Amino acid sequence: MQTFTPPDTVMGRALAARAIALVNESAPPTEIDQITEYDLTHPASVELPTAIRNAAKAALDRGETHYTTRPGIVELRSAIAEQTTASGIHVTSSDVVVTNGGVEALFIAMQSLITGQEKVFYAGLAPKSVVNMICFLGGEVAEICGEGERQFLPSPVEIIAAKPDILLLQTPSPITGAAYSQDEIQAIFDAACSTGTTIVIDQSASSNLGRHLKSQQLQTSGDLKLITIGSFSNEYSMGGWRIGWFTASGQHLKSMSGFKQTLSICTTAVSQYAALAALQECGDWLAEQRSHLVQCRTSILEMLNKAGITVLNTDSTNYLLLKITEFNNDDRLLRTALMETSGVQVDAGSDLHNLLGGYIRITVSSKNSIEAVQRMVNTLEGGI
Amino acid sequence: MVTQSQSDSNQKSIPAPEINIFDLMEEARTKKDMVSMGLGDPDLDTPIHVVDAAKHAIDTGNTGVAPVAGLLELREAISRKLRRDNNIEANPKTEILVTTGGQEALFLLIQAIISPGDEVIVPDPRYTSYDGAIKVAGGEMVLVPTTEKDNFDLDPDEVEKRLTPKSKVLLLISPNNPTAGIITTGNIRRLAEIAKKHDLIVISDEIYEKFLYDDHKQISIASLPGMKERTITLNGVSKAYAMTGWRIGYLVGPAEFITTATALKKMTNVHAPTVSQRAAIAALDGPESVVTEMRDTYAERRKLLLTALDEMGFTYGEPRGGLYVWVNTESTGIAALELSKIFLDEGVLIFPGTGFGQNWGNYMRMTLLQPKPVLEEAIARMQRALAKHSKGNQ
Repeated sequence: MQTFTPPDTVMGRALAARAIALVNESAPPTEIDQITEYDLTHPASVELPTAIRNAAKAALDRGETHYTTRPGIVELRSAIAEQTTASGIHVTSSDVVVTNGGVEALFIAMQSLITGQEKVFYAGLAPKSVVNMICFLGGEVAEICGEGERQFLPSPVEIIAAKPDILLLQTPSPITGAAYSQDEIQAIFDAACSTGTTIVIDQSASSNLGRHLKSQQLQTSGDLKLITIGSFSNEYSMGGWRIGWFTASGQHLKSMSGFKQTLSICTTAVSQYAALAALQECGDWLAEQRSHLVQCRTSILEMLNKAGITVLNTDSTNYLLLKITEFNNDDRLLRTALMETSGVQVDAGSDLHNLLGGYIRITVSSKNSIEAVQRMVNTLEGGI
Repeated sequence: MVTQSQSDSNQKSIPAPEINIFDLMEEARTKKDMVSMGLGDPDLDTPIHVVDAAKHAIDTGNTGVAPVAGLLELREAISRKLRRDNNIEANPKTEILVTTGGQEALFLLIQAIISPGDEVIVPDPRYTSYDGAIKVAGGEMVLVPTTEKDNFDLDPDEVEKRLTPKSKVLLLISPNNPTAGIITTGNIRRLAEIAKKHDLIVISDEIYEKFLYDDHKQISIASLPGMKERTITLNGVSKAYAMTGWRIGYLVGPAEFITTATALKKMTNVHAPTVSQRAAIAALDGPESVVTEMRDTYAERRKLLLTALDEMGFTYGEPRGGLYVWVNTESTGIAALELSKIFLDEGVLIFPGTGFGQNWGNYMRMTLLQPKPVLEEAIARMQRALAKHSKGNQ
């Protein structure tokens, strides 16, 4: 991995030290020249349903090409508020701000919470991108890690024992795909009410696969200091539209709204109307997509089981973590070998987190995934 | 922290609390029958060929995830535009970053180059979003007042006398928001020499560049000898193509800066929306006539407004570029904040000058962003409001 050392030029000398550090910390561990047809590192592109496309085009035809109100169009905020309230977190449209993706929402939340050198407790394996973000803002990350069998998610008891002032729950995990059950989230919320912990719950990595996890309603009280973050990227395959949101209240809402204004004024108008259609008109499409994903996943799990490959199973996102130590102790070497031998691209566990040495991660999303996994299994069984 | 210049005493200023112009706007939205001359959001439509390009992208599924730096086709289109319009050569692969609007561009560039304690020389009055971005980075603003008698041009001597060992960045906004002043070619050249002499980084915000009136011209400072290496140019499609809601801006600078800003971009919101990027390609590569038509429309409105302001006894710096008129309200004897409330009660939203800096309590920013009939109505309401106020004071 190349280190970025600014050249001795006018501009190179002018760059801020923390920005240079960010460049080096966020450099990708490997350079990927191209995505092959056997890529298992990204979800496959999905054709968006007609409802979303038509809503976007209709918005453009109506002239929705100007600034929207800063927090976002009221129709979308209302729909998000309705969905959030249905989960048990009671918010109104006034508590919702639409953002340019879930990452922007998280950045704004961290900007609001980190005013000095606050420690942000992270439940589970913290992605490098999140660590970099918090460090850039002057904060510190303290991971609370659970056992491997729980895919490193700490139990509510372990979280409470850490006594966090600020707790970031990314559930599902953007690394492992593991998610907390509603019971566990409830226990964490209940404890936070008595300890005064501010919780940021980021569900941006939620996928269509995990919709069943949200079936149980949470019980929240006015004492809970809660910021929620969501995104349309994974669940609705709208990554390129850059649309997410946060909910907050009181002083947090005020300060986060101010940061949103400083960063981007408002969110892209056409994306907001597309997102509204996603929430209101795509129930059948989501069900169909989910059914397809479940079939793919089932086929792949059968294949892996037959090959004797240990899988850290999750049923909440498209990720599967595979233990590969019987093939090669070095997951990065194995990743490279798979690419060179069979053209199959996977994520090396060590690139995702230092506790994931000996694992590779694959993303399951389409029939191409099945073919790619078969190819991978054949390669592994053939000796690599 | 804001440092006020000693020379401010030469200018009559009424200290007043700064206000948030966006809050005023939200308040105005709650009132019926309001004519807005406040927000800098072009009322004209995004050109049809741009909208069609977006719809084509939607229909063909070209809306997926994009590279952090932006679609290469868009960066290439930006590179062509820079060569064509600004005499700037920029490598699309290494020297251009697409952002989610000009607002994000300014946030990212400030975070990339400002460290705590760095001083940023900022013309005053100013678009106060720069204040927020500089504050987040821990920088300090040093304000350089611009004056009505100079038509709000930026005087290089006033810049140079404010430089200290901590001076790092010189911010240029031309045409200016809110004053509509432009920095003349001669002053741009002098400022370039000052920047080189004092080893300053220059930020050149050119987002209103397409709207120049009465044959006024300006040059991009990055095109001058020795300036490309120390200049960051900020621009976008929001104003030039009436695309404010699409959120597409861009930064142009040396590769080491773009590398850094790209890492910051990835951290804040990953990439600009893909549909909007596809639309922006169509805008930049499309016919220039759409921009010329917009400029001519704004020019007509400008003429109408200036005539009315003359009749009402207001003075102003000559608005040589951009979408605004920076109006001196002293002739009314009413502070601008109070005057804006008087106008608001009569159904016209105009931002008081303190939304652009605390020293501008006797100025207001009026926009050219309403159709002529609506502008005429706004003028009539302003005249009625002034007449009522005058009668009430008799």
